[in-house]
Amino acid sequence: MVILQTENLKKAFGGLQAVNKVNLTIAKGELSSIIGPNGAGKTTLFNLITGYLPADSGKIIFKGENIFGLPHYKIVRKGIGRSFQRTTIFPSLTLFENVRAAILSHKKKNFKFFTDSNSLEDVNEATFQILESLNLPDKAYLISSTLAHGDQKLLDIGIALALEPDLLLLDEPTAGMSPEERWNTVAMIQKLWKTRNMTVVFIEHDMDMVFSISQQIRVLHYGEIIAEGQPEEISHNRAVIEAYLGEEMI
Amino acid sequence: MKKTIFWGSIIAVILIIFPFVYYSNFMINYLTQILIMALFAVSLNLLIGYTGMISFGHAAYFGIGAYSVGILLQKYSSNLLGSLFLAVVFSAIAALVIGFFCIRLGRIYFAMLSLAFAQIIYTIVVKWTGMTGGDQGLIGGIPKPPISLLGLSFSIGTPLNFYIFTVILVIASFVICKFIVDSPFGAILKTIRDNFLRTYFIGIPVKIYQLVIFVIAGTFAGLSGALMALFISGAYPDFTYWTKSAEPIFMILVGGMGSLLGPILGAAILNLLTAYITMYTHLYELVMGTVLVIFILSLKKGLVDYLLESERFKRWSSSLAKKKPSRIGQATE
Ligand SMILES: Nc1ncnc2c1ncn2[C@@H]1O[C@H](COP(=O)(O)OP(=O)(O)OP(=O)(O)O)[C@@H](O)[C@H]1O
Ligand SMILES: [Mg+2]
Repeated sequence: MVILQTENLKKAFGGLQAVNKVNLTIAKGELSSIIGPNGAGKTTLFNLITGYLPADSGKIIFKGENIFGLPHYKIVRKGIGRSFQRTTIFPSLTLFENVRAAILSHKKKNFKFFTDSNSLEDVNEATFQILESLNLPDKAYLISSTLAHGDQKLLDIGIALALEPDLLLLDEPTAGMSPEERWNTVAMIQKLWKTRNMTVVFIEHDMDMVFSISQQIRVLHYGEIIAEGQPEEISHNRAVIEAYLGEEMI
Repeated sequence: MKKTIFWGSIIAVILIIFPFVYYSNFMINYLTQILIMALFAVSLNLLIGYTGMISFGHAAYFGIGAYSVGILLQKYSSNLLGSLFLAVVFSAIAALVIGFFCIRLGRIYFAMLSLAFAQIIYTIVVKWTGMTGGDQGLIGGIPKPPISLLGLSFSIGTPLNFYIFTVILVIASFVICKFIVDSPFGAILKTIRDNFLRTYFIGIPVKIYQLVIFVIAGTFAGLSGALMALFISGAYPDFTYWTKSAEPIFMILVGGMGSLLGPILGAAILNLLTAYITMYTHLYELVMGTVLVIFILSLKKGLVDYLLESERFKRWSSSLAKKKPSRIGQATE
């Protein structure tokens, strides 16, 4: 079953065709990755899917419904969660408050004026579950901007996870982490994907990671998908090797 | 919730008993004025401190509340509570209309547009002489007919009674503000302040939240303006002038924007300073400006924020029993 499909998706910035005629088909339950050299248009593609940027033309079909042109906050409510390449959290709030805000929104308890947020048991419980799955419960009451970079990246993912998305888009979830943090994060993502029944697409530059956990890999180059397939096929694909030549060794 | 009502009641009772223990007209009037201005500052801090919306035109709602209650009681009505209520509703409607346009814009433009609208209100007040008295203001006194409620009659004509009336309304407003900032709605306001983009990406229509809090802030500003008009028995164009918008900003800067207590304390400090400075010199602005500069440069944040973030306070508060929601999740109240 297909969860997300794009047809002929296009986006230009001035003369630069950042995303060009992209036809994506993502199967439900898949753990897949998008790779490509710097500036290939990977983040832009996520931005189009999540409604952060308006696409120029094309179709975006999520769970059978055309979400093209919907405002971003509505797309989130349809079930697409995302993390950001440049960590995007609520810096002056505690980790608990960061995740709780997303839980409140997800449980549709966000528009209450005369309830004490602290008194919502189910919300507190769900918040701690997320923090536990990120291995961050001890830091629940620290101000998030005081965390190390790696923990902030995890929190960014945690905010998206709290929305219980059907489709989770992770933009370079391990960028800037130490090798050890990296593998812990990979293991965590894999575990969450399995236990939570999500479809996960991540953008990543670390080829070890990409090839070790992706079921499907899509390669973006100058805004176009130049290859698509299982890790085995991609690693032997000529176009991919050429695109990466001089950039990274495969 | 219950705790907030409890503490609100305690504070209200203490404030009401106080003049029966020690009475002076001067002090009663000062306390009344501080409470009214504190409400004005707290209402603005819902925008600045909690939502990150810096409004330079908050006097618009203060002024509309003041003029509305004055005009209603002078010309149209002898029902004090009804007039007060209508005045507050007018402020809320003005905030809804003005807010509708302002929230479309980013931070700086939001600040500028809110100021521009306030100047429009100011111009209307000055030019609409037949209704507002123009430059002279609403003079001739505002009648304060006794309030009859549940068969009881209560006059707010004396300083003491007006003080009690103010304590009740202002503390009740503070309690409501406290509810709001502690509520899920308040939790979302803080995420908007911190990062409105990410707030969209947890599924929140940010603009609606901004408009709602803008209206709430305008409503309480309207109440404080209306109380001020009743207090001084008049309303003047400078109630809507940009200098009036600056006053609560200074109070917030001095007291701190991270809590409700900050602006209240800021209002108290600035009002007392004004009283003392004007006793000794006519160079009021110069002295006040110097004090503000020294204050801001040395603490780099408001007084209450400074104290809350000090190491000593943190050690003290963490030594108290943890009241934070816990995994096992005993209710905190
Ligand atoms: N908002 C924008 N306005 C103008 N140009 C943009 C914008 N966003 C991206 N671009 C340009 O579009 C191209 C694709 O950028 P994008 O961020 O999607 O690349 P990417 O594949 O994510 O790269 P990286 O691996 O470095 O993150 C780049 O040339 C970038 O400069
Ligand atoms: Mg990118």
